Amino acid sequence: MKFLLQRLTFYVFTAWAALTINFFIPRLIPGDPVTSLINKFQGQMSTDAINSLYVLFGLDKNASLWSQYVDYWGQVFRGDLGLSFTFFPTPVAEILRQSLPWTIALVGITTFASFMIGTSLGVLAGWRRGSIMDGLLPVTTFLSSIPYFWLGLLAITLLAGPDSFFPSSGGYEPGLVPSWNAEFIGSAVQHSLLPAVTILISSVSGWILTMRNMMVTVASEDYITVAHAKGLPERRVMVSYAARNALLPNVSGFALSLGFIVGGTLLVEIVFSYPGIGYNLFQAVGSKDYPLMQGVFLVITLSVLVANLLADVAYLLLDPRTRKEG
Amino acid sequence: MKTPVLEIKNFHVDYGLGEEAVQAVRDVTLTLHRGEVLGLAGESGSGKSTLAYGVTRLLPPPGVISGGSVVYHPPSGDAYDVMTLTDAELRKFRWAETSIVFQGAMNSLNPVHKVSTQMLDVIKAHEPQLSPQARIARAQEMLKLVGISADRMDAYPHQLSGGMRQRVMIGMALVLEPQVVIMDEPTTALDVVMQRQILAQLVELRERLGFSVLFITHDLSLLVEFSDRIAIMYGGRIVEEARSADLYKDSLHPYSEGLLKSFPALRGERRELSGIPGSPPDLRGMPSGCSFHPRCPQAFDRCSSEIPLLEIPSARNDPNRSVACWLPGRTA
Repeated sequence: MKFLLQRLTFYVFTAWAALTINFFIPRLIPGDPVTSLINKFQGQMSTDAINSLYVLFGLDKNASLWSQYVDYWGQVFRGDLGLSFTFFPTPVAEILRQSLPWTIALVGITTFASFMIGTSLGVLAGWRRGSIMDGLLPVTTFLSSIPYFWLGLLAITLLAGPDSFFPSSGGYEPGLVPSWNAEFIGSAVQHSLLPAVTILISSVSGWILTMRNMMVTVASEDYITVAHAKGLPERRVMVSYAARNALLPNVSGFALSLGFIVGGTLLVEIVFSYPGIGYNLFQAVGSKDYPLMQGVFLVITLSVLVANLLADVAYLLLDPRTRKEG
Repeated sequence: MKTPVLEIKNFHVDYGLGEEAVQAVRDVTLTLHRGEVLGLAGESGSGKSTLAYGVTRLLPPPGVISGGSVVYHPPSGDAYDVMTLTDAELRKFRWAETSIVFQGAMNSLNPVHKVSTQMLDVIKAHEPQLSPQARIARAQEMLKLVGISADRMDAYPHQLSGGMRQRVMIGMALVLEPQVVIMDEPTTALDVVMQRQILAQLVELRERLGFSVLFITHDLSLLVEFSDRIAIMYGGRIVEEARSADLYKDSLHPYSEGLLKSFPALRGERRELSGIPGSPPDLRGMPSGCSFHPRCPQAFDRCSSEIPLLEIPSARNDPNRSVACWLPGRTA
């Protein structure tokens, strides 16, 4: 418990540091969001409107940096991340609220599936070393070396098209209204198939390789020989003795990759114009939408932190040696 | 009358296949009798651990059993050859009939499972009809026998000391009350005090449970004290086999003699320590004839050309001992 509290304190500190950096970066960048917004409206704004925009973005020139900082924290706690320029005047929080579920559903499910499939195949490949399973290795090495965007573009070129079952872009049929009915969900699944499969293909091989290597390492441990000598069923030795121990490094890798679900999907969402958070970031960068960028970075930072915390907890549960007290 | 429980006959183990194969164990014939402690001693690389792994068919690749048989005599029923068992039969045989305590006391327990999990799964695998309570009771009883209190069942291996871990391993090896326990340098990683305690306990347990022990070590002084008979291995072959007392007082093979002179005896009169000159043979290029002849102080012409066979020494009319040496009065 003490260990957990220590970790928690550490994460709270890291979150504070990340948010503070997030506060300063836009203020250090030459030019400010309001100027770029004014440029967007091409001089059709009054001085009063401009001043109130500065206040609105928390960039009031009359307020001190400290009071801006305090206001910023107040906003963060209220979930107020400012207004987006690209989708002016929609609040950033609202945009994130709409796009986050898409990213989490698509990449979350595929990351999980990829981890499960890759780890299971890796266990088999490592356990039956020298069997046909070894043929898997060159294939996986090849797949893991393909750049993701190329795979995505290839998939679109070959499989998607006006007459194809696979749509080439978007998260759902343009005419539909997002809701929990069969038609919409069906359309969403249909749209997610191609990006999901490409993510799976490019990420599964990493899991296979690491898991196989760990299995090979663990298989030569003394306790595996003992487990065989004990006459335990082969399956039990493989799962409960070898895979159970080989899994440990992979679990922390998995938790970390959960953190990158949000941030690491930029390419997928750009290639497939998928309405997720990565696509938001792409749009934000294109139109110098600082508040939106800040919001996306905030979400990425927090998700990485939460994933790390999960990794710590998972490790604590899986490896008794890391528990400090009996 | 002594009855055999495990008969190793003309046993060969190679590492690798074909021309490149290294012969680690050659033509070993050894009989373990019911209730006895048979010591197997030799330098590193003499093939003693390979023999233990081979007998239980646990050899990791590229180890290959290239010949011989291991006949097991169950307390009731017909004897059978372990080498011809199917995978399923072999699994049943392991631990229930022959259990092993391995060299690496520290790494023999899986670090992520509790002691109880690792003791109970072996009982469950071999005696599935036993209720969970009965399994726990059995495991606790066995731990108590080796001097581990029952509340340590829920400990993880890293919470136990080295000596405790080895006791747990011994307890685990006895939990199914096997006929044969193979111990491969079970106390090498422990300090001398712990070593004696554990061995004394082992001897006591053997009297109570009646199993036989094949005790493998390079520490001949330990064997002289604890075992009934000793077999000396050199270059993959047994070179001498005798009752412990006979071997200690009257060793016939120059190698046994050298081994005995390599360390101080625990009891008995003082004697000169000398050691054996040279180093163990390279298994890839064994010397011709008796493999010990390049290091043997008493070697003569015949030693480098002909391999001596293990036979009852002609000078001692004792069927309980055998030696493989060309010196006068030994192999005929």
